[in-house]
Amino acid sequence: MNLKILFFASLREQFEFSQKEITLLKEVRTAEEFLSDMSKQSGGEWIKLFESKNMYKLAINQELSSWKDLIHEGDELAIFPPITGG
Amino acid sequence: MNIIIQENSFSISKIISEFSKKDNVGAVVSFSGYVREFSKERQLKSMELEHYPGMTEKALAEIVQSAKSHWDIQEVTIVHRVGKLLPKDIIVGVIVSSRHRSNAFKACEFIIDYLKTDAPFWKKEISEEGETWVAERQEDVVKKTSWNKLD
Repeated sequence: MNLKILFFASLREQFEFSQKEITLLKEVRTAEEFLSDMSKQSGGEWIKLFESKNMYKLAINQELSSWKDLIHEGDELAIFPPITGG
Repeated sequence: MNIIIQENSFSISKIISEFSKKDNVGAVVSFSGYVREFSKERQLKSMELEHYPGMTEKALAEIVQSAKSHWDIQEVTIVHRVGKLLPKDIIVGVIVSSRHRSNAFKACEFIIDYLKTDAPFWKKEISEEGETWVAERQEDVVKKTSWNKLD
C-alpha cells in the first residue's frame, strides 16, 4: 500500500523530512493502523508519534480528519501539531 | 473571495479603500494581526511562519463559505504571510464588506476565529534563548467552539 506522508512544524524537524512516499508491507484500514504499522516497520520516531498521536492533528487528502478515519491507496496523509496561525 | 498567502508585507488600508469603492458597500470591517515584540517575557528576534500549501487555501475558502452562509456579506479578502517576519510586522489581514455593519463585524470575527484553529499555519518564535514552536492557545479553541451555536 502506497501513501504520501507530509510532516509540518515540529514533526518535520523531528522526522527530518517534510514529505515522503511510503510503501507499507501490508494493507491498513485506518490512519491509526498506519501509524501502528509504521512504528513496527520503522521504529524510532514512529513509535514516539504513535504513542503521542492524540497530541497531533491529521489531514487526509487536505481535509482535517481523525485517526479512526479510513485511508486508501495513494492517499496524502499530513500529520502536524495544533495549528497556530493568525 | 480573495485568499492570498505571501511572504511580502501588504497594506490593509489599500484593501479597505478598494472595498469601499465597490457598489452599495455600507460597511468594511477588518482585522489585522501583528508580531509582538515580547512572548512570555522573551524578546523576539524574529518569527518563522510555515503552512501547508493547498490545504491552507482550501481551509480558508471553506471558512469564508461558512461565513457567507451565516451572514449577508459582500466581499472577503484574507491575506496571510509566511516565511520570516520581524517584530511589529503584519501577519494577517481579514477584510469583510457588507451593506450593514453588524454582518461584517460578525463575519470578520468568525473568519479569524476559525482561521486560528482550522487553517494550517504554524509559528516558530526565535529569541536570544533559542527557537520555540508556538503552542496552541486554549482560548482560541474556546473562541471557535463558541460559534457552534450558529449551526
